[in-house]
Amino acid sequence: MLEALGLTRDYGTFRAVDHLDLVVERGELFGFLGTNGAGKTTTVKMMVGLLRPTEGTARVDGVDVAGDPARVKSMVGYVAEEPQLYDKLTVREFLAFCGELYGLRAAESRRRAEEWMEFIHLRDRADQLLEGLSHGTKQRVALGAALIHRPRVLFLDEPTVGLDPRSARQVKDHLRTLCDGGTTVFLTTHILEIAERICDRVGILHHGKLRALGTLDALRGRSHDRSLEDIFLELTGGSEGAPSPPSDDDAPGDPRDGEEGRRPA
Amino acid sequence: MIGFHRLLSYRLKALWNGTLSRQARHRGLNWAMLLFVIPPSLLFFWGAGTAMGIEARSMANGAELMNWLVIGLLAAEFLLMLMGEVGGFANLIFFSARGEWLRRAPITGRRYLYYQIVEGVLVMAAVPTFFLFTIYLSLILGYHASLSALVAGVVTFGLVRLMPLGLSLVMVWALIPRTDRETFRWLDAAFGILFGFLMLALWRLHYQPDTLPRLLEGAYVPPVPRMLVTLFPPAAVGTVVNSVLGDRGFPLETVVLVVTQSALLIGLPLALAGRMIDEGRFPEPAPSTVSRARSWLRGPSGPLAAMVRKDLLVFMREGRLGLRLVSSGVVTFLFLWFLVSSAPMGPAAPALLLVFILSSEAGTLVVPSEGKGVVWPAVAPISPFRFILGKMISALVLCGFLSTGFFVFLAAVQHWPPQALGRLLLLAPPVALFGASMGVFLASRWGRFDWDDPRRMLHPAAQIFHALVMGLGFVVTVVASGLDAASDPFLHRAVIAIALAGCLGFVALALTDAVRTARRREWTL
Repeated sequence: MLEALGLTRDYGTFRAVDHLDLVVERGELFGFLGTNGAGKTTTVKMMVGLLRPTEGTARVDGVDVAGDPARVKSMVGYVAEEPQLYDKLTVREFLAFCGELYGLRAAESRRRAEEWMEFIHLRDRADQLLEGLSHGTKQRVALGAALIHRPRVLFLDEPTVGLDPRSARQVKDHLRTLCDGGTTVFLTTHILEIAERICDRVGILHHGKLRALGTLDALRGRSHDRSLEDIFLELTGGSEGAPSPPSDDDAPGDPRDGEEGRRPA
Repeated sequence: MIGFHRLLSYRLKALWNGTLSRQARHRGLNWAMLLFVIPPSLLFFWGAGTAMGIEARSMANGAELMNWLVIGLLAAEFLLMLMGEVGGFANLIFFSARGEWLRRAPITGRRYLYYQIVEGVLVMAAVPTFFLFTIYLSLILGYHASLSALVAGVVTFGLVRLMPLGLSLVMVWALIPRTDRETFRWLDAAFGILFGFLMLALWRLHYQPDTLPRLLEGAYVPPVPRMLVTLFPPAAVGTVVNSVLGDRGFPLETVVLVVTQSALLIGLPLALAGRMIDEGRFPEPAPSTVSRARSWLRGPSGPLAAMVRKDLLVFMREGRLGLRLVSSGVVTFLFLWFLVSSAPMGPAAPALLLVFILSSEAGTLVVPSEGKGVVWPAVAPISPFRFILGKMISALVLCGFLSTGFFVFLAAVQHWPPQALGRLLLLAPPVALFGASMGVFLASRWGRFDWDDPRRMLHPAAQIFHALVMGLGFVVTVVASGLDAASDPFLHRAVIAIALAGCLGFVALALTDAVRTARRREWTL
């Protein structure tokens, strides 16, 4: 369903993604893990046609993303990490707009917008401008907009960042339901709990290279039944421990302590 | 506590890195403005102002002419500040991220207000004010090179720059916290338009249509009417300066009027706003709801139609974008009024200039108005050609909508000969296509589709090229006004054919380039 063959992307001399090989099957919920700056977002952008690979190929359902981007785009949905919406549209207008962008007739697009507002629990806010919504609500709108044309593959970049536990739970439930219905879901995250709870398989990316790939059980089996967190930290070099915070000597003091602003030792 | 000079230095750094040029590769534009645009402009304005001042000194009615010139320049500054300050100051004080950081800092409300006001007075509309100030000061020095004249001129200019701030603060005080930033942006436009028409009304009330050209020639210079001095603060302030220039004694009555006006326009609002900030009366963001009846979802189907419909909705609801278009329209309209009044050209020619300027402005705005939301069309199966075409259609619809409003107003007060109307109907569509495609071309080229903050990216380029657009607009209208060649019908038709072919050729080239740019680019969202 989804293939990356030697996928590479350079930004000047910096290599963000380095010869990535990956296959994700239909109906699979794939978790793409990595630290900040590991290359997860760049990989997703290459797969949805926003960035061109420096080398290699990405294919969706056998169609080359760079060769026929329009056909690939009609098959995929994408939710960016920051829900970038048109602030001056209402929830209903935005969903209908996105449906029409994917070629739905206006009436059909409006009908599906109503359905999705029900699904993402936003019917009571249908006529509210997007600018006034909270981050979590915007994220749910973005999810609805990415799904309105019923894509075969859904890409989500850090879908639960900034969501409260209730909204995060709703998103996770939605994703599981989608996969059960045959949609392939490719999500990037650095929240290991999400990967452990809902993903069928995970890949761990570090400095643009795929360090591990497989089901959670297989990864644990290869690492003497250690937790995903331990495996992740070992593969991404984070097990050395965090740097120590600035000492009190370096920190600005309480202004109430006096002109010098330094606390007594 | 951070000193004011440190705060201003951060602001200037942000201006250099952000407003003037968003990223390092665009700093070339900053340098281009500093080296090649600003110095020659300053020299030009300095030379013109000094020459006018010296010329006025030798005229018999030079004192009256100076009175009009000084008041005109002060009025220009007043209107310039007013047409951006109600929203500007509301934004600085209540809505800006910078203001948010300052408010959290351990400083008093009054000091916070002081920081924001001084920054606003120094930074807002700094470039046009700089030019106006240059010509104003050189005019005064050319006419009366004395220290007292210089001091009076500088103080007066500062006073006029502060007066719109007072009006802004009154609006802020009256409306906060019951409204949002969009309302302030529309108030900007409304103020600008109202004061523009007030000036026009006063002018029309007292003078014949050829007053302006005759005034500039110095042939006939009437005294400044009392009504203007009483109602329009810059006129009162300018009259005081002129008394100093003309060594005509102390104008006690006018000074009392100016002091009263200043107290009402600056002192009282400052006190009100200071108290409001001390009380912590900041606006709470409230969800805005659009009634379903006003939600314009009906219309033709398809991605292109959806893009256009979305653009029009965004323009109607986004004060900032609407303001720019309305401002262009008003400025052009005022210019046209004088042109039509003195009738140096047929009515169709200035109308075409209006179409050209509105369409090019709309073209430069519709591309970056996407903002980061452009990720949705970017990941949708919509081709770059359709994307650019959608932007073109949006620009043309916006231009058509605004132009029609202005034409209706113009038609109500002017007689339009049938041949002028016919020429307008024949030439307006290609001129609008020309303007809109130039705008879309500039936005796609200079905005570089870098959606990190496209409005900021585009801003300096658009400013530089707006001058070019204006110049081209004049060429277009001159060509159009030359089409009266009734004596040579063949030449008449040939000029029309060449003009149309040129317009359509440019449209094709500009759109091809914009589509190529859109196709080549990568979406660094």
